[in-house]
Amino acid sequence: MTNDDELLPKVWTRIKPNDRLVRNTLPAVRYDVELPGSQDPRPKFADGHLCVAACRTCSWSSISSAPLCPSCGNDVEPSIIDPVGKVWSATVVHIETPGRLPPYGLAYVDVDAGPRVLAHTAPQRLPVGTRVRLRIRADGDVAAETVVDAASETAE
Amino acid sequence: MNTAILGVGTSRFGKQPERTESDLVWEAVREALRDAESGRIDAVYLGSVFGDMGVAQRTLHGLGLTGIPIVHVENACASGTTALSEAEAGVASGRFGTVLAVGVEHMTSRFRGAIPPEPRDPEGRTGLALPALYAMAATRYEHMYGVTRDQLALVAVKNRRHAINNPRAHFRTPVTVNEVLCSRPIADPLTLLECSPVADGAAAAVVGRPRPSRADVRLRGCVMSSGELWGPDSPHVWGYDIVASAARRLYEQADIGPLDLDVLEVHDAFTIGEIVTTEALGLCDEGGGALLVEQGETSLGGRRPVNPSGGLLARGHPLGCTGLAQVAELVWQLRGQAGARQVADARLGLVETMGGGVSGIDGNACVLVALERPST
Repeated sequence: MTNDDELLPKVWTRIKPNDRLVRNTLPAVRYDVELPGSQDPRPKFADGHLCVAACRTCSWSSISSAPLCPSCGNDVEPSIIDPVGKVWSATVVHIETPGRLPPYGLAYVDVDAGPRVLAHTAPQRLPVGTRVRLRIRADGDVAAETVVDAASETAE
Repeated sequence: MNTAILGVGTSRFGKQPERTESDLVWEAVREALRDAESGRIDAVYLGSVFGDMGVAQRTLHGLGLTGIPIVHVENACASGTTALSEAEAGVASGRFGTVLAVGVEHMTSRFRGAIPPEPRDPEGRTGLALPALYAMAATRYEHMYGVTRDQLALVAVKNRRHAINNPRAHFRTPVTVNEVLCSRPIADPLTLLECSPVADGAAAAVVGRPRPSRADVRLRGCVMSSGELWGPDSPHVWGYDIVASAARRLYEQADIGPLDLDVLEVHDAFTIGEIVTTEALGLCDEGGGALLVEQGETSLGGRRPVNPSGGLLARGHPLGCTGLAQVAELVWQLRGQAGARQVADARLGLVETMGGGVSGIDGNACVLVALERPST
């Protein structure tokens, strides 16, 4: 079992002695506005599966909705896929971004059945090719966890 | 193509919190107009990413640029060259006689550190700041080609060394590989000195028909595109194919090849950016970009200098300004006015800009501009 707290990046904290919140920007409406849930563009899950828009005709799929397939122009339909795949690349972020204190790990995961998804990892770079499973956390971020499986490939 | 750069000008680049956007634009435009001596301006395109509504008119009316069509354009880091591309098209089509292209960004009044990612973008909302996106490419290059951290650092060492002779650049002191690698980590494997610094600045170019009596630098080619869909089926790292496709079109339009180029200014927002871009432009084979730097081919004095100005890494990267700052450098190079930065006998140069921030596509925009010394 994974400890959520280890993966969860810290949110805003009070920095003593000034007891002020740490920010990396001057106050600006566009970055301060808390967008309502309908505007949250991050990937969604249903019953542990990744929700995608998938083309009925070609192999295109995406975590973003689209009115038609941007690749071939045909109809798309909502679909759910098994969220397993392999790491295409990874990094560890050491700078603050809105709502997140560093360090936090990120990886591009090529899901076997679908798109390339950006996911959070523990703050170490996962090796390229690592087999992972994606899940959604309570804070709405997608996290990638290493799959421990004797039959899995570990490198490209 | 029958268009030319009649004059260029820039502000100083660097942290200038006490100056306004207007101060920067006035400095750049006045120099460009004095340099051009071309008379009336018929239209203006101004590139700025974070400039607020009206930034173009607000910064230009004090110069008497009023009444004429004025358009604010945004294409991420390619905003300045987008302004140039629109100016060129305006002249080439006969719509306008002489057009001013301006780029400006005042960053120190808006950001303390890295630019926060866009909350309405899926990857932005997930915390993918731009250094992290480039870091993903660096990790891939380590994996695919064995590119080392030392090789990445050499891009910063080279460009910092070039800027020693650029009085307008933000950073004018050299750095060593060790200093680069020991600077603060930003997004593994990239460190602070591998990222272009926050800077304020403006640059401008006057575009018109070439004047034989003035030996104006000619526009040999100009192409602009947005990125194609990018995902698991894409053959290259982010930011490669958008440049490579644009380069193929540019070389065909200009009837040149990459090895005909004498000098380049490319988008080294991060060290890996210059390495990927030199490959995408065809200066070397895929995977060979790190060796180009290591072997000195792209240094001043080398076979094909890249970023003689110091690039974004040393000059700074005021987003909307950068593309036109690169154009100004190449104009000075092609005129033989680059002083201690001069590339010997530079006849043909290329500016490359590429900007991102929209996930799912291979870059928001790429603009390539080929410039040529007129044959006299």
